[in-house]
Amino acid sequence: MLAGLAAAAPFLLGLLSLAPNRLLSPRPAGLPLTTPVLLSIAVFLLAGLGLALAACRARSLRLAELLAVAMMLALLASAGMAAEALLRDASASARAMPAAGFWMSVLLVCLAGGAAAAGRGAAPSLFWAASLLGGSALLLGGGLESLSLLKEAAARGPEIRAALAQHLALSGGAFLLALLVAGPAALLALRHPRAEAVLMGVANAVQVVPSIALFGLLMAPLGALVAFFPVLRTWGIGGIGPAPAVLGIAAYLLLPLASSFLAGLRLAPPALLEAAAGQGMTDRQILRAVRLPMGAGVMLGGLRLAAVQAVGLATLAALIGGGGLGALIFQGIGQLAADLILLGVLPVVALSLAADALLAGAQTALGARA
Amino acid sequence: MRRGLAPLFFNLSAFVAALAVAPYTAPLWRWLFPDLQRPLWDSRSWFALLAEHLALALGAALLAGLIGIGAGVLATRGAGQRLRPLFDALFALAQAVPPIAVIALALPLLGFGAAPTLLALVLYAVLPVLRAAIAGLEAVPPAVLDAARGTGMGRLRILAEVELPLALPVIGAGLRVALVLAIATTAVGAVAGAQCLGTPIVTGLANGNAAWVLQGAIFTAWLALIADRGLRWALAG
Repeated sequence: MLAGLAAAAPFLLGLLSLAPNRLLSPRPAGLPLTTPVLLSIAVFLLAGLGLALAACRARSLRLAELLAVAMMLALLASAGMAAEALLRDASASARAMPAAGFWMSVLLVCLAGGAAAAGRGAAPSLFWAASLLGGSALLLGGGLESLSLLKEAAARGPEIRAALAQHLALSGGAFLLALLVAGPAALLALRHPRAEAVLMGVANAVQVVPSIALFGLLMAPLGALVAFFPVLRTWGIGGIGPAPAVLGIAAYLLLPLASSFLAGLRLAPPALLEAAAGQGMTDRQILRAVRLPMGAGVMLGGLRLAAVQAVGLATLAALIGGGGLGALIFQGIGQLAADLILLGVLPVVALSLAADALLAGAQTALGARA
Repeated sequence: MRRGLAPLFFNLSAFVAALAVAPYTAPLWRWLFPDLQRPLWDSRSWFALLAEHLALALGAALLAGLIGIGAGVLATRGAGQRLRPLFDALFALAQAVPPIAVIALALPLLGFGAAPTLLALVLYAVLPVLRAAIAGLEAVPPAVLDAARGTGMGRLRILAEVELPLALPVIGAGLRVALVLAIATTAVGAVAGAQCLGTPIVTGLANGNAAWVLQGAIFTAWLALIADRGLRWALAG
């Protein structure tokens, strides 16, 4: 059923729309009937039909998943080629962008692929990997060049790369800062229950405050600080800019980091700790040889959560002049330019998924070794 | 009266009192920010902003409740159980995208105002409700279901009269978590032009008025802290 809907969506809602230039709102455009477009649409429909048939039988679900991949790629290819054909006889500043039908169809094909994978009790990694691979191949082969998103990306290449680097610096810097605070704080809290109460109280309270409010709260005091000690300004610290952003993001990472560190350090059973102490091991040796190895899995889980949060939170840093990919998004909001917003959002989502996958991989590697 | 209610009530009254007093604190802000021409936020009443903020959050929690419970019921029925991992993956993905990104993506489609904010809030708040609904429905003992079937009740009646009432405490907890999450996240909606307590922050940032930013941030943070305390109190009881 999902496959049928996915196949119908581009025709009901329109595959592409055409705008006179990048700011004016687009209008639905008819499909140009050139041979390559017709060919890839035929592949798309055939794959959809096959998917619907294959999904009925539980044994052919793997085939259904592959057909979903074929559908996705054919859809992308048709959009790319149709855009090229549309732009051939339009003005140079015209933009062809995917319309609602395209996005709906992408979503439905993803759902169908996911459902096929879920049906045989597997994660949809095959679907994702194959779609991603095929999509990149199309991209590198130049099949999608005419779509407005890529035109915008090409026009703003250096800007996007700079924003990406800034985003990584913001989230990475905040991550390191939070690590530097949370590590020693967790060790201190392990010894002193009072310190633990204070640490957890502060970390919890920060977590509750909405990020936009926390950035606002940090702005005025930091600004006042700089007004008092103008020296700070020469170090790049101020009420506006990367400094309050990094501070604010790091404050949010405190809770996942500190709580997972504490939980990890406490994982070693008391009997084992006593045995280690009985052998004459010092506190430091116990920490290194017993507590850290045993709690590494839990701690990595905390690192994973914190890394994903850092990437997401850094998006808001642009509000207080911190730059990063959020700057592209807010610029796009200001101009109501969908392509620019997407160019900011897609790398953020990709970054957070990549950070998650990377640390998840580290977790599995650790689990396999232990 | 249960323990912990008195401080909560005191906190809430202080918050309301501060909102009421805020329009008369111009001298304080003029002293703190001598460079600004209009350091006091007076474009719109604080209570109007608060009402709109709460209406947005409540509406989002309500919608998230409907969707989450519906999906939870679906995911615990026979055919829907196969879709469980899919639901989980879908909503987990929705959580991986920061709310500001959802709002930004929805802007060209839904226009400025409350609609994109509502969408982002619902996407965010649906996961705790869904998890609670599934956990609550699965915790209903099979013996009870057998007994209900034995008395000749239909599947719909069992759902409405046995399963949902038994799962209600768990689902209620999930709904409250969703509401608190929505109250805290609503402030970001100001970026899309939704009127809420975050509006002075965004307006202040746009106009270089740090005093407005600070005032909006104080009230937004305060409201979120109160909501969190209230949630803790409600869940502990």
